[in-house]
Amino acid sequence: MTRLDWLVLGGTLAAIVGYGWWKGRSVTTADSYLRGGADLRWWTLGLSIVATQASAITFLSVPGQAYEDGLGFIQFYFGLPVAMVLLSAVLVPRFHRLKLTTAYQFLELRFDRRTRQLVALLFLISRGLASGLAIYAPALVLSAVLGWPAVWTNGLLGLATIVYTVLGGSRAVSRTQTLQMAVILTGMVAAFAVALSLIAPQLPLGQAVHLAGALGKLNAVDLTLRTDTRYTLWAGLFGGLFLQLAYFGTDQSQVQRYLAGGPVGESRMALLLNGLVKIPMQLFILCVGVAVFTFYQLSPPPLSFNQAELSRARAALPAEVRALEETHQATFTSKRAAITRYSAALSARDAVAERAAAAEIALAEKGLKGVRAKVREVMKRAHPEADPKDSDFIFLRFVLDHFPSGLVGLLVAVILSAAMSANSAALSALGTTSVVDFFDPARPGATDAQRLRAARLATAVWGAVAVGFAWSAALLDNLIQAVNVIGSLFYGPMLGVFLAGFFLKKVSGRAAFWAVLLGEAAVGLCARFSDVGYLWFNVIGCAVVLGSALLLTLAFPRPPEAAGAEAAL
Amino acid sequence: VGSEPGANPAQDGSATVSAPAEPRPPLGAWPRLYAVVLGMLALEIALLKLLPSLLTPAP
Repeated sequence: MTRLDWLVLGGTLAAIVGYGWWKGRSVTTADSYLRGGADLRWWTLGLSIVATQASAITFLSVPGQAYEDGLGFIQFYFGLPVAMVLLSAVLVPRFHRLKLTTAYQFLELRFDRRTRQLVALLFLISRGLASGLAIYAPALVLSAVLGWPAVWTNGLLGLATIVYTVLGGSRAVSRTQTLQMAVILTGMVAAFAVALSLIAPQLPLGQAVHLAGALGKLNAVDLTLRTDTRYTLWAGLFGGLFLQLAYFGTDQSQVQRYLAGGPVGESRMALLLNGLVKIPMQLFILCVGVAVFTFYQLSPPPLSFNQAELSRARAALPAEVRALEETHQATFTSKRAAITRYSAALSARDAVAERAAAAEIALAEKGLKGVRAKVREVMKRAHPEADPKDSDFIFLRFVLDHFPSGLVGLLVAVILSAAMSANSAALSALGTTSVVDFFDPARPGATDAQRLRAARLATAVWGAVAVGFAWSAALLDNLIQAVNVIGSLFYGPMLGVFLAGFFLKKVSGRAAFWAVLLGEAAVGLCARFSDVGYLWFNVIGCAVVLGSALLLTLAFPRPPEAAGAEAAL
Repeated sequence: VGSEPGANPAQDGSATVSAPAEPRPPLGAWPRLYAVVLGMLALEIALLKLLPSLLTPAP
């Protein structure tokens, strides 16, 4: 990082934090702290929804995902627009009519308090863990840039986020996210432009697209019906639909964003805006990853993008790393020569030569993948406690090694501010749920000042929990997958109990409570003992809750007088 | 504001939030907006499926 990079980084972060503080300074009551404000329009709410889901992990991890597996990850989002339509039509009008602060209040109205608090607890656990990852991802950036230990960068970033959220509350979160989305979009466009400008002098861009296609990186839609493949059209449409319904309908970090608005139409429009922009936005980030992959077909990639672990392995087992470096260099050189022949074949429109060169490139690429796998083995052998995975470092390494001065600082600022934005929304929701669903029922006579103090304290405590989890996040697989896997362990049963509340009029409170526990047990068994892709956990958890709630209602029927209150729900 | 755990507040009126009964608003332009969102999704899936052959036609 040059002095200009530091200037851009410091200036951008100071502007965002200052703006958040400025917008949140009028927060003096518990209600304004917890809910936000009724003057927020649908585009502000919509951008806030997009920003809450698109954290630093999106920016760091999705390009790495595209580098490894191409555009297939986009299928994960296919259920999202359908979910937005269903929520806009069914759930948002009900939540508005009931004037809810948290989604879980609905469950007390429909079932009973212990079902409400059980589901609120599931939210607190899943979001608390995911928040840890949301701190860990940008801490990774700081560690790489500054060379500081990850423990320190995790703590520092966590502390900054906690202070900012505790001071600003939900209102500052929504306002700041608009500014942050503008910075993020600028950063993404700049990253794509730089990647293309680095490719173009080496290979015409049309041919670069051909090359990415020949290596399978443009295959976005998989129509196979296999359930053990993580991303297929069907997993995305059905599993993804359940995940997105649960995330946007039952996760307070999102519900709080659209319930902050005034009229119901603003919330509905905000969700539809998200349904329209999400797939193009994610596709664009994946395309940045494919561009980075294509660039590294033309210029030699590092032996591992995780430079810190590579250095440690080199110090421990120098001869083995050197041998792998030589094999890597030789394989890359032969692949580069094949790419030159491929380019010539494309220019000459020689289909036979093109196919032959493409086969050579694919073979060499397979060889390079094999070398990377051996590097990971050596890293693990050198330090058994090491985390040799490097897919989350790919985009970061590319930025640090190849971006011009100033732009590196901007992209690091984008990653950090996105992290603070998504994480502050999560911490704010965790604080709100703790107060509204647990503190308020336990202390019904609390004053407004006591509630505000409790909300600030709960937000700070959840921040500390998130930092604690961030310290162990290095043990996980690709971060974006880890976030969604954690969500999928809880979201199915959470969605199931809300659907039971909306559509299964006969289900009683006691049946709902035990059905949620059975749903969680089913998802836990699937995760532990089966190879089913995690997106299907959402479908399974939801189905088990709905089925068992109906069965359990036979044993624990709903009191006839309770159905009288149904019309209003 | 509170109620005994396990009780149904919709039944005994002790819920922390009330459930006012209001008439449902007319549908208005919402069905058309939903059709736009779902139509865009169908278009995106079709384009993405065809993407490799669209971007990399055989010479």
